Amino acid sequence: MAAMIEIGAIDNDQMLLEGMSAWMSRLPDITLTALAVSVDEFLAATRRPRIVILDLNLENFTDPADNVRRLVAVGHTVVVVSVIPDPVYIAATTEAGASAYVLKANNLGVLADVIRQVAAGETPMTTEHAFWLGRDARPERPHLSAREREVLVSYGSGCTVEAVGRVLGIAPGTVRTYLDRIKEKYARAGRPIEHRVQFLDRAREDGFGRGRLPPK
Amino acid sequence: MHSQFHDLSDRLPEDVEQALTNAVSEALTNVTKHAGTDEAWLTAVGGDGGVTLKVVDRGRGFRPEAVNPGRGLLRELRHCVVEVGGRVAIDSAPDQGTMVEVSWRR
Repeated sequence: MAAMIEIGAIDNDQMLLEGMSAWMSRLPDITLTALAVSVDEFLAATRRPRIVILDLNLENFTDPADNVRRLVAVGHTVVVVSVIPDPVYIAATTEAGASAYVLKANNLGVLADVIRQVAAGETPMTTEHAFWLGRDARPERPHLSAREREVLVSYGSGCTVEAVGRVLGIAPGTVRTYLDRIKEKYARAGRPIEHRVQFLDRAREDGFGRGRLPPK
Repeated sequence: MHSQFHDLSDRLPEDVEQALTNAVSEALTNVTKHAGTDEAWLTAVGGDGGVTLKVVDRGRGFRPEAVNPGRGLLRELRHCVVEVGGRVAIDSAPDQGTMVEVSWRR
């Protein structure tokens, strides 16, 4: 039998947490072991599963992207869920490093599939996630190539990767590569600071002095 | 049905609204009748004084070149949209689902 996937959930909706908990308990491969109504509460808990389902709007005046960033910073894999698809926050949480986005209108089976994929180290893209990233009109959005946009819009309208590939004349595997690359572009746009830290780390490893600035 | 809507603040002329609504419901009826699936994706996106609606399914699909364009639901659908100055694109292949795109610009 495959290893049990342990997850946590952060949502201010108590009824949803309980419902999800009850539904998950019937699954043979996923177990929900930590429930919290805020990121603070979750981070203060002693048992913190790596994979966390996070509600986009916790209704406690916290910033959704900050919530994702705080969890990702301490090593969590975050799956964002929401009732209302807010395009600005979906884009911002993707940049903050969320691994997937699932609309709550989907049934829990969709969520379970996404959890299995992220547990396997994959980077699933739901139809809704693609649709809203395709509508990202923020001035600071990452630059996508014309082909990347076509893939995003076509996949976001509900087409399978096979259908997208056929319409655009590319292989289904290439469609997946494009989707991965788009998500990677978002994640990269969201971590300029991490880049600098990595650069300094590398500079240090390479034997540069601690105070030395990286060469221009 | 999975549906996503964005930027639909513009009010369309009444005859256009009627034609597009008819076309979408025809497309959805088509899914129920022919696609062999009970799932469909509806998206509607506005902006630039127009709108683009898509009905997508992941059902059995068909070979577009093998279907006489002068017949059936597809003709009805195309006819009512073209009449109000809109456009229709239909894409399908066996076992790869069907995509019907209906758009209108001012």
